[in-house]
Amino acid sequence: MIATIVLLSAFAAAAAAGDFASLMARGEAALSARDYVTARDAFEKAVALRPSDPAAHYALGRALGADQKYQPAVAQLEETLRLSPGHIGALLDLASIESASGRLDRAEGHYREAAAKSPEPRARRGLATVLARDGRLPEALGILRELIAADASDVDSRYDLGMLLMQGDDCGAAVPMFEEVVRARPDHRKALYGLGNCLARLGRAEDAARAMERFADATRAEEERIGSERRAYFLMIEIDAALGRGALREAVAAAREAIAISPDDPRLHALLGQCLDGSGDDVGALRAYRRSFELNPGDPSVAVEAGRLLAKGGRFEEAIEILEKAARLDPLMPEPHRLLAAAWERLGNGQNAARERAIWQRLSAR
Amino acid sequence: MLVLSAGLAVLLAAAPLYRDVARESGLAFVHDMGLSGEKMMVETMGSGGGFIDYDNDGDLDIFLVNGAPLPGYRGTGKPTDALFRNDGQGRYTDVTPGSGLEDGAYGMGMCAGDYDNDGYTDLYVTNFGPDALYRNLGSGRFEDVTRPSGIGDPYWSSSCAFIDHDRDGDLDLYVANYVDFRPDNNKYCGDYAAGIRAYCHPNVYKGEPDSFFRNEGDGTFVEAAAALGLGAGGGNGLGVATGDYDNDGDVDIYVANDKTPNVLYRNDAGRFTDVTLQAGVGYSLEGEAQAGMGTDFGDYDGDGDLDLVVTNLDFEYNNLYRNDTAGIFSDVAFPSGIGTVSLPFVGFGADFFDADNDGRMDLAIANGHILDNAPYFNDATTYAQRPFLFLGAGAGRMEEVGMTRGLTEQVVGRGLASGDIDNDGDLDMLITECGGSPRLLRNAMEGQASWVALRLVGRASNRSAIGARASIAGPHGTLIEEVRSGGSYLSQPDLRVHFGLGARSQGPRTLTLRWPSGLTETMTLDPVERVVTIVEGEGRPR
Repeated sequence: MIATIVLLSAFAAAAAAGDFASLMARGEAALSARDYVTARDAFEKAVALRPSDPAAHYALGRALGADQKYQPAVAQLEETLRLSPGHIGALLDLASIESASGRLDRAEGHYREAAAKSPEPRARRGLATVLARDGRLPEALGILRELIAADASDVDSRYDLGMLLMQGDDCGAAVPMFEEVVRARPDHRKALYGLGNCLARLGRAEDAARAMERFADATRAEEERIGSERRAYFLMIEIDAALGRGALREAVAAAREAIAISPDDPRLHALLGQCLDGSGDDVGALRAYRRSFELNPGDPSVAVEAGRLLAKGGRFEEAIEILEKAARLDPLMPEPHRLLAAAWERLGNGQNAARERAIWQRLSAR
Repeated sequence: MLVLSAGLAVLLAAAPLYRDVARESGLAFVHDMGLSGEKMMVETMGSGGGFIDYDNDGDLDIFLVNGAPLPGYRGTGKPTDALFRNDGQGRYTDVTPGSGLEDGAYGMGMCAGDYDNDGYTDLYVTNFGPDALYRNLGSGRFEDVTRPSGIGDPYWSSSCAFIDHDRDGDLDLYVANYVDFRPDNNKYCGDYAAGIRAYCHPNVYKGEPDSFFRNEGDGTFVEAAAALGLGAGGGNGLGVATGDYDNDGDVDIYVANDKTPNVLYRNDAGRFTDVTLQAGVGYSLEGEAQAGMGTDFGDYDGDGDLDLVVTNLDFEYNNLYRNDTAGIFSDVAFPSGIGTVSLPFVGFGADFFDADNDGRMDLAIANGHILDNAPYFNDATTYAQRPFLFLGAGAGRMEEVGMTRGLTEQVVGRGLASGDIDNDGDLDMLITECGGSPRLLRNAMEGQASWVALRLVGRASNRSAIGARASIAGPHGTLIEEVRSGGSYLSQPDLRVHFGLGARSQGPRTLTLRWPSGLTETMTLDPVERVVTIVEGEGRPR
């Protein structure tokens, strides 16, 4: 009896470990895709599963910070540090938030602690920026020079040094820094701007104009990219509104237009799937959901939709495969298990069907 | 004893400099945003205001611009712009009814200048929709001459400035235009999934070109932006500053654009060249187009050329572009001390002036967030925010002292203008509030330092002497000021030139005036500490 309990506990622990890992992976994928709502949801669940795990608190803090929810972000990052004193990531993120908010003394403290504990150049670079903003330019320059001496290929530190030299009215020394940066990264917009600015200040008007022309080219490309993203975003809202009023043809057209602008946005393919699904075009909808899932393999919702359509079309094995992926991605989501139970039943596997139904009922009860 | 004296000096230095006297002065006005319930972005941009002496009685009256009902408006009021007359004792009376200024349009900003050289200061009011040019009839009434003057700016306009770009003796007009937002193309911005709507980013809409109206000298204007090399910038214009940054005798134009690069137009004998990139005043230090709102020219470091300030969004920073040799600028926001403190604030109106009459240029900035639900999107910020007062500290440094100098109240600040409302020799401030009442901040210097104010009257130059430059010896070097129309954000400062001269009893001062006509006059001011009227060509103060 005791052995059974131990075995069951071990099984539960293993399951929870799998759940935790899946939630963290899902959150990271969402964070990379700038889907902060999904990321926060996943990390909050991870924290609920393991309230003493600093990795979960740190991930949630990062997601909150990225979503500009700074107060709860700071609370999570501080909890991370309580659980894992000296956690470099938490120190750096806290410092970054404090620095962006103009609280230089706090930022300096976090950066100094991080720099003392880790060779991570970000800590020293951040410290240098904070010190310069606080008027302690010589100390800031010294830190960056040390970083470059330690690693001559450190482009980021070289750029930061160029910036601080420029702000310290030493364009003569800043120009070689910027030149090194654009040699290593020819499309480094910021370095091109700094270079052009400093060359102008040195009276080298023609060289400045050339650098500024390159900066303007890089800026135009960046603006086009942002403009496309923005157009796609508003089309997404139009699609949603059209879906809301049942204007499916309009919604499909808007979704296709948005995908033409931003073909690699998984949200747009998911929306197209939803529109086609509503129109009764199961084949088109399935294709769209699958494409969305290819682009964002961390999204269990589209996997569920794809699984549902596969099962509806009698393709139960394929349905089970994708639904199991969905279940692994969000172990607390009931829907994949309901569909899995139905699929296994249609395949005549009552045992698996019963198991999935039990999981579905347990999760639904939560 | 020594310690006690030092402490007392510190206490005195930190005494409040400003006190809000709007209510007790009779400045009864509430800005109406015309709320639609649909987060139309015009609602949150606020309206400006400023100082003009419309009745030529020697004291500053106040004009305040107002919003208007937007589609979906549930209010009952009929907001209009408002004119308040100063009785010379610091009390204001609403004289709008019958003034001809009862405009029902959705107002944005204003600028002042005597465009017809008849001796009375006229007004240009920018609107969300067609703007209005009001001719001052001199009887306390204004006539809307928009149509006969030929001015027809159909865009959503923001800040404006009268300038005499070709120095022909009459005032032309620069108008910054914003974006092509209309109630019928209002987009849903904010957190769509959560249903939290917010005012849109300006780049959701297309930027509109700015306008330039050339004065034909017969009461009419011709739009000539493109012909003169203006208006090719990226649109999204919010702030306009004018001044002779390259010391060549003609007035240049700087436009603060919201999330597109700011633009500096160099005036070369009446034609303009976009010199933004080479001058280094279009972007942040890192080459990003920031959310330019307000702007002003001023010689903050006392080196004889005009520097530039630009206010921006939170988590950006306010730019302070120091004018180096040959019209090349360096952004010294952080080393100067104005950058870091601005990071959590959304800046709007900005005005360089000498607040404490110590002979160093100071800087006031109105702050207030764009988003009335800002904390939802960023919990480190607030909608209403306190204004800044930076005092010049010498050696290129400025020190923010608002909290100890009376600027503690949080306001949804937009316009800001300086002017001496009580002619006591120190500069007071007007700050407009989006959806609220203006603050009239009276300066309590009370003659603790020396000063002089100049009321300049052009003859060959435009009558308002806009663009005239005055230079005078100050305690820390030569001070320069120019007569400015418009500037800051949607606002009009005192058209008189004011200098703080430091400690009292310093004797006569030598003043040099460079008029827009090209005439230069040098004269002695004795005594100072008064408002001096100087007419072009007379060679001495009246």
